Amino acid sequence: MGFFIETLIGGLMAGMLYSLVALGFVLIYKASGVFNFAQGAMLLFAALAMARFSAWIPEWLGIDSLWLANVIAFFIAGALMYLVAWLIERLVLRPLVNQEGATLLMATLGIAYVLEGLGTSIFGTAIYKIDVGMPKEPVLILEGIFEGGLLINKEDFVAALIAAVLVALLTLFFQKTVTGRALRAVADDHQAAQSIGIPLNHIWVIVWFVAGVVALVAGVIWGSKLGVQFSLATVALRGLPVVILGGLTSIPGAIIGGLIIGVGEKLSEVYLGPMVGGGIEIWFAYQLALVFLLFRPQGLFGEKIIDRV
Amino acid sequence: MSTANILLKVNSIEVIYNHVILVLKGVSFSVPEGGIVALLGGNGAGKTTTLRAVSNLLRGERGEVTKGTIELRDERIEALSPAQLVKRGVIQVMEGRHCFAHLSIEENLLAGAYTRTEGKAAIAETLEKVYTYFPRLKTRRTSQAAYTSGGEQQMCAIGRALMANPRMVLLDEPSMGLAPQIVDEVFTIVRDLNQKEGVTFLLAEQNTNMALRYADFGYILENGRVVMEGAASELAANEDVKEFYLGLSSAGRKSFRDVKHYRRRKRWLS
Amino acid sequence: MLYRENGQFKTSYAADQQIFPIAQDRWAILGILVFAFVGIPLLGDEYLFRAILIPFLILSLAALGVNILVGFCGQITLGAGAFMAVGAYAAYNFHIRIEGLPLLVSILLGGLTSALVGIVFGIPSLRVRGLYLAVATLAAQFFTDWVFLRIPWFTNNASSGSVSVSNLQIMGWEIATPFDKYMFCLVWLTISALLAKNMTRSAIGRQWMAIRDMDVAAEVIGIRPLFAKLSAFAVSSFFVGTAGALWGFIHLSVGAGRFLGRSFVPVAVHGHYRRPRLDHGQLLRRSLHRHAADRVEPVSAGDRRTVRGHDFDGRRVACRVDHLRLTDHFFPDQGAPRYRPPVVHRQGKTPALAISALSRAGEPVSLLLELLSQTHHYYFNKRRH
Repeated sequence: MGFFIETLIGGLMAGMLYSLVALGFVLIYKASGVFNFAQGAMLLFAALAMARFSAWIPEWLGIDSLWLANVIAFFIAGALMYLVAWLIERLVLRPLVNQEGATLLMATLGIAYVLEGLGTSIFGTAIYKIDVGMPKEPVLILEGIFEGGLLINKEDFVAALIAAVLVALLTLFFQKTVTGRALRAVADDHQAAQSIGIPLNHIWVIVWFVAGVVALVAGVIWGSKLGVQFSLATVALRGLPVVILGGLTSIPGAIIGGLIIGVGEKLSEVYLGPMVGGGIEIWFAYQLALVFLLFRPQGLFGEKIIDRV
Repeated sequence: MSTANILLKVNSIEVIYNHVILVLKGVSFSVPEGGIVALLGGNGAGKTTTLRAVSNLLRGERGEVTKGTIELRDERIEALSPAQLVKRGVIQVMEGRHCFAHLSIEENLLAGAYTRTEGKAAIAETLEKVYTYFPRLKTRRTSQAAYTSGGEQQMCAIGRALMANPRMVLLDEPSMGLAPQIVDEVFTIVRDLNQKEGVTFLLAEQNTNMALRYADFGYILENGRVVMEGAASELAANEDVKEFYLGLSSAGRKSFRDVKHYRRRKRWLS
Repeated sequence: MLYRENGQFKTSYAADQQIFPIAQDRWAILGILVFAFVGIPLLGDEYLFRAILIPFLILSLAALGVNILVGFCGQITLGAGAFMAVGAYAAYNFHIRIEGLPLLVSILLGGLTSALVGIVFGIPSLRVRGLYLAVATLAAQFFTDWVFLRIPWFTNNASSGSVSVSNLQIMGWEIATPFDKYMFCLVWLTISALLAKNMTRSAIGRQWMAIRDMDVAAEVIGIRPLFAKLSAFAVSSFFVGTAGALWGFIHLSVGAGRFLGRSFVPVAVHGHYRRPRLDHGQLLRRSLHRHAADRVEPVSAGDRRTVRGHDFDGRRVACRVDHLRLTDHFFPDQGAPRYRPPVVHRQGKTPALAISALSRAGEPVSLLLELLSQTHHYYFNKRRH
């Protein structure tokens, strides 16, 4: 029983982290109707920037405080993500305004390659570390109730907490603010949004920047967990089933989807894995998402695809 | 038409799509402050393109104004973005309504106030005003726009434009796909808005009958040119207009064998 | 468009119904064919054939399949790599398990198997649409990847998970030199392209396009989405599957054949993303670079003691993990990465060899990872220079 709950909690926390990655997809899709395959690359780029600047800044400025260096690096990386968002809008989205979804999707694949190449050539290809003072050591809790207690990873716990706060903020932003409403309007109909005076270009920069910041936060968390290196970009592959399970347009969907996938993966790996030889988590996540899709083709919380013939 | 108080003046504009397709071949017209001007004509005459040229929504469709000028109160506006134009009080209601499908009716309306900067109170006031003009919208305020009827969507689109507090609304095919009764309702509201709020309307319509009943002045476009213009009442009384656009003629139904008809029609199309 | 079709009037049904009704198209295609069949054999050298043109042709064939599904039927798919793998392994199994089966038949059977699998993975398309479908097709990718890695029967119990066939022959024609292989692939591609083109001009092609343009409307006018979508999946997967079989038999049967195991799966996916203007050498390098690190994964979650991965020669490497808790997927080491100096250079071996040596000695995983990362670096830089 203790082991089951441990797995469950592990799954929930991993799920929160997936949600964070999925959130980036949802944000951009919601606001610009673009399925952003470059999300992984953005995450990698942001994490690389964070890792390198937090190492360079103490050298350049002679700051001893790790904390201060991290804060400065975070803001520099954030600024860099703004620059990236601005460039993407200028060079990719603006010429492609009013094109089909598939075209934009392919364009984001291009962005992914450029960002990955750029990131690794500016910041290097070695494994870097991000040390933001995340507690590393696991703790045992509830030893009185379960035999041997439950082993909880503090780092995961903090990460899940950060993810939850970020998600709450974003939900408020989308539902309650004028800009948020404009973002949703743009997602529904570019042209109509333009016709009532919502400046598309501006909106796109905003939303790609917000997604960039989410990528940065996710990058910092994942990066401090795993080390920053090229394969961090593939973290996005773990976000994909989450997004489609939760629904491409729903922020709460990304969270619930993340939790379902996280728990499903861990439980399947632990309980089903040994029967078939293990290593099933990644495809299990996709199959799980697919099963949900068969019942709700727009994901659990996605907006209904409304067609009028 | 008097030259006083010209709000919008379009001077022989030419529009080319995709660098290849010439759609407008020198269209000129003007819209007086506080008037309702109708652009009439069949499919492909260039009505929508004209409106898009004015509101600068052409670029998204790969169209471009290559010749001529468009002036709003003597200011050249061809190079402005749609957003800048909305700030100057000119807003387009697009053909086929284009409501934000997943936003509720009220959110749709509020989204229309994006460019307003006077604060929440003023926007709430405008919202109330829109609801008094379109009481149907108030009853549907929380439903998703995609699930409302065509008439309600059209009202929503017009209401949304009004939220920006415009001086001039470019209304593209408000009658499209609507039942005659609803069309009547929509047009009555348009006239009310014009008379009570002083909003200027530039209307593109295929439903000539309806448009001429509510407009002050009309221009008839064919093949990217203005082929006829005049006060709405004059146009409605014109024999050719009656025959080709209103489907009426003095001698009842015409036969296609009628050569005279053919010749007269030809004059229009050349 | 670079040219206009103005003024080309057809005066007979035959002229109206021909494959390329526009003269410029006709001449361009003819020119390309002549160049491919006559020009390139005169110009190309062995390296060009082996390293560039053969993969180019094979990936073009795969692209043809993807084009039918995505371009004509509008079903966005990211699972092409999976179908390539299915085609390759199926063809391989038919070839070695049935004595004396002609090569041609093996490849076709590989394609057919891939078509069947394609239909199965295409079923969700009846309910799921657009981007949701695109992501759902990735399920095929990961699933097949896993199946071929875990079930040794498919790889004929080859320890590396990679397979190769030697001694290729078609009706007495020994396909041995790169030139032969090039010609074989070219003929295959030409015939496939012709088939595909004709299919898209026929009733079924029009059904696909109707579904693509608006599936609800197509259904209303009497097109069965079930048939149209699944047939598109089947045809597409057939072409992609034969491409996979060719890749396994023709391209990689010698030397680098061991890559077949897994690496080419992502290659194919990338290939279809970036269909225009590919540099395949670069592509391969990129995907190696990208996909090597996450090849390391826990073998069995139950005890989580052994970690297995692939080194760059396609060999499996495995090592024991004793004190680490595996709670994450990507990197089994939960603790901070250790920054040891690379052992590689000190031992003077190539990284791949060092990995195998080390992994047999049972080094901790973080070191293995470090080495893997060094390995990309090594390969990446070496090949670039």
